Amino acid sequence: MITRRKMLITSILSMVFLIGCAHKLSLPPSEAQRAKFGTVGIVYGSYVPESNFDTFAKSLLSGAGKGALEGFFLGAKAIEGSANSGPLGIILLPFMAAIGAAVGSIEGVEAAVPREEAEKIEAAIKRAFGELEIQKTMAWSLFKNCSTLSDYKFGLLDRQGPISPDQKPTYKILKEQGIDTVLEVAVKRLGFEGGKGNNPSISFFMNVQIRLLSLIDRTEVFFHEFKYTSPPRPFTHWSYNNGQRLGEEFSLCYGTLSEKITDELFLLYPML
Amino acid sequence: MNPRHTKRIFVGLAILALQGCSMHPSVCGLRPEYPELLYKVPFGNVNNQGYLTFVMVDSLQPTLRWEAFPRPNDRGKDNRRLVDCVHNVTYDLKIWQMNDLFDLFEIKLVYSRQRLETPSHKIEHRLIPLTKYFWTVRARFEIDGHTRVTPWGLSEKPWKSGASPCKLDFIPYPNYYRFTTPF
Repeated sequence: MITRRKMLITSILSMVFLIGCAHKLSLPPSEAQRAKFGTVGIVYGSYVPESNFDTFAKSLLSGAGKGALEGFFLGAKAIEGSANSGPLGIILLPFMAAIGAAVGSIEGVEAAVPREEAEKIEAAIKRAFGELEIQKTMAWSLFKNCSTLSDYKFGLLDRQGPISPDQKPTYKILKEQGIDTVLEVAVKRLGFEGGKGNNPSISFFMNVQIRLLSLIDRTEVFFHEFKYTSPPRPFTHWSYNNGQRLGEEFSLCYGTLSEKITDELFLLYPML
Repeated sequence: MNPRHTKRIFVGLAILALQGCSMHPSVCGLRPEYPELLYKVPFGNVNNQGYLTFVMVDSLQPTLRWEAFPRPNDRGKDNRRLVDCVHNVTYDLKIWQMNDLFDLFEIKLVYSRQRLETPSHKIEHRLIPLTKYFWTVRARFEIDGHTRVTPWGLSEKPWKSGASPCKLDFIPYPNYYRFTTPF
């Protein structure tokens, strides 16, 4: 039985990684472009990235029944009353409600989550994202990684990046401050994706958009959205110890993406 | 033909067919030499889709080997400059431990080395017996005074038709080089 389930999981994994996450890469900058990079200013988005934590939880709840809804309300109350729940715990509260009910096999009335309660949860999750400083942490991780390269000079510039997902600043003003190239990093989207049912296996993902702009040539040298996807894990793994493992995954994700981005922009040699 | 011979040939062919066929797939980046990269297509698979096998290494501290950089096929006309100007070639190696017990699929980076001076490396501590590992390697070199790297090595198979996995910004798990440890 276990072998069969394993085979099924392996097949699903193969499908996910062969189809689902196929992010085709644009070409790395040419050597001629790299030669002009000079001083690189790293800027980052200052908006809350889009997430599917709340909608994902609600989709789990919609089929879970009365017990789940009660748990959901408790989750909302816990958010209202608790200052001790860390931001990761808050992100995971709606899931805990849904999974708690599903694991207990409570079957009951299917009902929509009342709007007021859903809004409370959504607002709390947004606040939690703000506390996590996802954009700044990603940029800092990238800056740390880039700083190990001796060929270029890097600086991390606060409050210079886009303030909304659609904004595309030109950064002309940074030229006067001695910046030759701008590396804009923006976490666009993050959340969970994957299965349903009792204690489903779900993957954490994060999409990071990179724009590299030459202020000398006034051109966009590179544009790509990098994606990090964790292996799928049961929800109980993520919820362990108030989101401790989700926190560890965040750290791994920042590090992995930073390394990928640094390699692609500054190190990878275009092989013929 | 002797009926006995015919029978033996038939039995041999049947065994081969049941085992499926193994091949050495193309790679992106540097090719592993030990353990070798083996792609197996099970018998009767109409889509020709197979999987990379976990080849068993000879000890819990195996010496992994891979092709040196620049490779023979880098010496083509278009890469002349690359071959002539490259120096200080070293290698970066990464190994992940894979756990797929009790339906939990886990991959953890357990070993990482940078700037290895030769295209081989003996793992410095004992690995866990009967455990599956993924690994990859790349060359790090200097050209025109700048540090550059090759892409991380990965197998081009398994893959569905369309763009090559070499063009992705990550290594899909089914395409990692791999081995398993003995008892």
